[in-house]
Amino acid sequence: MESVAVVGPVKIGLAGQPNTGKSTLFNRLTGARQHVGNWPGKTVEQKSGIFHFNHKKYSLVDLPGTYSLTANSAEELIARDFIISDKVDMIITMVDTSQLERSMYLLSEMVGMNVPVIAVLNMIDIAKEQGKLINIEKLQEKLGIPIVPMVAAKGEGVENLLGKIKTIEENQKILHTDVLFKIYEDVFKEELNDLIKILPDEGIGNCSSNWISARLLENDRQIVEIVKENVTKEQWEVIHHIIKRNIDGPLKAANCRYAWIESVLDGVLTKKEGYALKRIGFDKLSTHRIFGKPIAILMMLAGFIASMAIAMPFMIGIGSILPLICLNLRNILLNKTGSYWIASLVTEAVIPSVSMALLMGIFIAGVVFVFGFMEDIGYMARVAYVFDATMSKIGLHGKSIMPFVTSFGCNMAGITGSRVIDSWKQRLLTITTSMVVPCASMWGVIGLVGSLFFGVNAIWVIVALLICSIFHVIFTSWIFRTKFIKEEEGTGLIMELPPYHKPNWKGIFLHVWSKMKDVMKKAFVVIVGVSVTIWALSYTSDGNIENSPIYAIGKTVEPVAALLGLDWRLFIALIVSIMSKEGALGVLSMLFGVGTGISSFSGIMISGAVEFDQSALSTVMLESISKASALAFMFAYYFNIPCMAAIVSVNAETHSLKWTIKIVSYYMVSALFIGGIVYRIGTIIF
Amino acid sequence: MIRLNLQKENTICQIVELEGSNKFISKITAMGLTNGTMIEVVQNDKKSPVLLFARDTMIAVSKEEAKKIIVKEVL
Repeated sequence: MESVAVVGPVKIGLAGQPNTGKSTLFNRLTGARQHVGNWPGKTVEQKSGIFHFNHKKYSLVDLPGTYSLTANSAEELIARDFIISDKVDMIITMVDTSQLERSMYLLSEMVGMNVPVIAVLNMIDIAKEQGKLINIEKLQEKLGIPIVPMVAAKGEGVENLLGKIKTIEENQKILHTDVLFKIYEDVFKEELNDLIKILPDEGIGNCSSNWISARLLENDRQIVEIVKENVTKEQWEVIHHIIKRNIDGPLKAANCRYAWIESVLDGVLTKKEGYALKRIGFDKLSTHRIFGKPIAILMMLAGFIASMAIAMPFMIGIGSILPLICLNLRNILLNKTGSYWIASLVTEAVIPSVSMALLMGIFIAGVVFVFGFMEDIGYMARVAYVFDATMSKIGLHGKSIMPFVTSFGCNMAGITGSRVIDSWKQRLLTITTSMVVPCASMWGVIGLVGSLFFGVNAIWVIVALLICSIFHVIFTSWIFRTKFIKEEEGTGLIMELPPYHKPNWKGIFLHVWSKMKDVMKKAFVVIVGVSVTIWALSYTSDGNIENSPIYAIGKTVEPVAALLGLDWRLFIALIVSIMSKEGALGVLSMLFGVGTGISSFSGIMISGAVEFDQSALSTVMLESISKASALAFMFAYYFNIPCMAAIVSVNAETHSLKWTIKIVSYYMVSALFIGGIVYRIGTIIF
Repeated sequence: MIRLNLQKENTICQIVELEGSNKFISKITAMGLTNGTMIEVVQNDKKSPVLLFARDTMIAVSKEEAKKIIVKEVL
């Protein structure tokens, strides 16, 4: 291979199985110089960063943490494509020394790829405690690549790694292939040799013909496609025939790789006899048949309360000074400009929404911190274990219980919390379905409207809402799984329960910081944008709603809204309540002409500064709205998209505008649809 | 020989056979379970996934997937 070009930074890919300390090393090397986005054209998150060493710039890409490099999941394909692409100059592969044999599997899959590799043996300290001794020199010799022993959490070995990176730039080393290829040959026999003969001698791209042949015998669909494009029709027919004849390819290949690992470790690894699994008391409790679930629920609730507690001082602080600032500023603006609308725009839309975006960022930081901590120490895998049987019934991962529980407090927390789930398809599914869960702030409106129209029977309405929620979750999960996310026939739970370990504070805080920045940036755009739009639509200089554009819009859509059983005011309240669920009452009071003290909806929504007489609102609403209409409104309101902050969270988590729009439209349309059906049922009942 | 979902807890077994789709085989082998691997069945409650310890790793395998793993008890 030619040596690395000197133009631009040296590009390094960081590979490794989950829980090998990949992120810890990534954070150590790049610090805060990180960028989080999605892999081009994919919804899988990509983290990249830069670092400098010896006045030279290096770019580091964190590859998805996967156990293998097959074509079975989007994450594995991304990692593999990146490794064999021309975009990378070298790969650093993390190996967990405390689980050496299993953890080397990823490395075994790289044998035969023409890419320079450095292997990092992380957690060498834990391996030592377990009585494992590794002869690094000998391992280096057997593998043919540089080996770096490391304790990433303490930063031990990082200097050594940087030195090795420098060496490999000058003298590229790829993994020795002879031992594994010999094993492949012994197992696959002439089938392998026949394939190698047909394939181009130099292989295809960065993959040797031997590597490709083994993959073909595993029936790897992506490699099959690549080969098909690179050989003649006649050659392909022979290849196709060999692949079809071969059975048990994946199992044989895996056996070969473990045989290779054993042979590599022979004489390299010495183990102390009698090492056995040690489980701490809490681990037994957290996976206990009876106590596991209640403990998990308690941890979730405690986690939610802890995240609230982090944000609370800021909420109280901003909450108490905001009205004062707005009031004073309003007076100043009125005096200076004499323009009522400028004062209204600034104090009812801009300032409250900016502070709302700020608070949202702080709250999200709390959530990311608390649940990031639980994930980091290894607890979340236990939660997934105890809830797997329950959640898998509706096609969800055991870990998705966490977003569901926290969504009862706030959907933002649920959406953000979904990041503890590793596969993006499962994560997207959890984000989508957890939004059915009613958050704490909508119960005020549901309770008030319910008791106003149905008295004590409101309780039955609430029961009906909750029962519908269960069906909604099941339906939403089903439709997204089969129609939109198109999850292929997956396998049931097969998951590592990593040993509990001390939290990596630096990693957690870096994560919190980057998430908070991202959310705030997005929140400023969306929340200020929506607030100003709603302000512009609902602003009136005299407080009479009939003089606002939103009135005209409401009147225009009235025939459509009527189909759904909604009076135009209820319809507008429903749409505007996307700004914030609890603000719906204030909007209703303005729409029904009983609210005073503010001149636009955005003011009500984000500062809650409207004053209204509840009994007056009750009287007007009872006079002008039928029971069936009220019921339709409650259902549509309850099942509508939670709020604009939740929309921001969806976008921040998926990094995808397309998915955000899909999910938001799904909820808005389905809420109206449900409202329409409930209205029809209501007209029969009442 | 017995399917793993039925294997008693606190026993040590050896994997004899793996059945199932290519996807399942790829996934389970990447987690370290392959022909001949020794495993310790740590926990096997009625309704929860099987907890096992193999190649220094604790792994949870759902009952449905555990059915596809055939083991023989050695201890």
